[in-house]
Amino acid sequence: MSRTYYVFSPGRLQRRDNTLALEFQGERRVIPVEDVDHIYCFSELDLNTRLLDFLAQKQICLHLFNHYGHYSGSFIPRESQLSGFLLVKQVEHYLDPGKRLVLARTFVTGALHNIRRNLEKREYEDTCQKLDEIKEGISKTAFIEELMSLEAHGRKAYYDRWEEITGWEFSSRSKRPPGNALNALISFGNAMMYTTVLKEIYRTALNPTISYLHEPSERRYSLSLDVAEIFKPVFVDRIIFRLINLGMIKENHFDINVNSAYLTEEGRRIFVKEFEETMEKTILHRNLKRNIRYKSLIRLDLYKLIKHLLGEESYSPMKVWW
Amino acid sequence: MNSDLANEVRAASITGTMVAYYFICHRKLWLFAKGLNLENISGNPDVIKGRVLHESRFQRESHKEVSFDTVKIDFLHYGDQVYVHEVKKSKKFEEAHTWQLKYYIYLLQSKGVNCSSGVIHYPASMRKEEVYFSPEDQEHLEQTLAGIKAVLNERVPKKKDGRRVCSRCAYFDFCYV
Ligand code: SF4
Repeated sequence: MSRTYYVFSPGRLQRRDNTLALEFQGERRVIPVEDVDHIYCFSELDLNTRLLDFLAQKQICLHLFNHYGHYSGSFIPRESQLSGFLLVKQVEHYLDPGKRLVLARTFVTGALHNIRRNLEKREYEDTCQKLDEIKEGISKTAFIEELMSLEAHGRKAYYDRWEEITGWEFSSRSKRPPGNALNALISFGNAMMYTTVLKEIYRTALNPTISYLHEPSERRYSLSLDVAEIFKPVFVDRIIFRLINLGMIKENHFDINVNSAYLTEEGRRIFVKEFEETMEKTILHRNLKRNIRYKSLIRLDLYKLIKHLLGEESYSPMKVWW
Repeated sequence: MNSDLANEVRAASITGTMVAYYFICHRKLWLFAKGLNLENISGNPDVIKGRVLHESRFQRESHKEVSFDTVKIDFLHYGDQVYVHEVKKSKKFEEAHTWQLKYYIYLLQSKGVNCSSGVIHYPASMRKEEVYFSPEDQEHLEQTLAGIKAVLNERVPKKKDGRRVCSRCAYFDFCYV
């Protein structure tokens, strides 16, 4: 019960008796429903409510991406984990500006720490120093807006290094639409991270709509955005560097127009394969003293966040140690 | 029978699982009662085995999974009186399971049902254990229920206690990360 299934080409997904079947080009593939808990769909798919009902029953999430690889939304089974108590605590930490700031700062410092690690390895000392100064500034911030602008500074300093790291054109971060190949990779990778975090949030009793760094109104599941900040540098960015530096992804994996760029189907396949392999890798966890999968680090961070909300222990986000 | 307490217990929504957890770990009891149930997501092998066991055993019993108030009993058996049956995976937490079953008897009695004993089944080891509810048990159970209520009233979870039970507990990652 923890496999992700990816659909890249158009077809029809349906319930066949007690299992799932994917039909495309006259071929039928049966998907063993018991070990899937996540379906990513990157192309046009025909489906019906009978299927959705079945997915709900089997606790499977369906994530849809449009033609350009933009995340369009998810079908999420009705929540099974609920805790009114925790919800009250989540809201309390949002409504109290002091408490909210503590958590918001934590997400930013965690993200910057992990960003710094990517630069440290490449000996970009001046940028690392800049990040350290920003980190110091963060402990003095009194408002979320201030914090956001510090974070933006940090991120810009980081992105300024991307042309050197990858050897690809970057200029600056552009989102809707991504202006070049590198931006397209970042957008796609971040969407993958966002949905992965969202899925883990749904397995805990946390409510994904209440967030601290991002405004809850920003996106429906903004807690996912908060937590993804911590993991993006560790997973998404490193995968991008690897794919480019090893020549696994090339210019012909993008649809590039005058002012927009998108990953082609082949490009998405390559990214997703690498993402999937990375998340399944294991590492020795220092506190738990056993090997855990990279993807489990997300759930462990959510546990720490819950403990913070319960007033048990302050949340200290995952700091990459490898 | 102290029916005031029985009513109060019902109001506090004490489930059979909560009674068992009181004997296993107060922290687990607190977390579970606050809706932070980690049994279903942890992928803990013991939990999965337990679920399969519940789904596969005693399929033929006609009074499977009887629910009333806040509890769910595996199955009841009717003779000259009512017998409560619970199915458990291992005898490791026998004391906890015994009190869980006694709590069911207590609740049934508070409803005027003629019931004073039951059986815990351990199909994995092909054993069963009979449980008899004595008048002294009632007093001890009422103290236990008061203890549970006290745990639930705590504002923060109980500290983890690092006992041997932790290593195979579904809440381990949560407690120790
Ligand atoms: S891991 Fe240990 S402290 Fe935590 S709930 Fe389980 S038994 Fe209790």
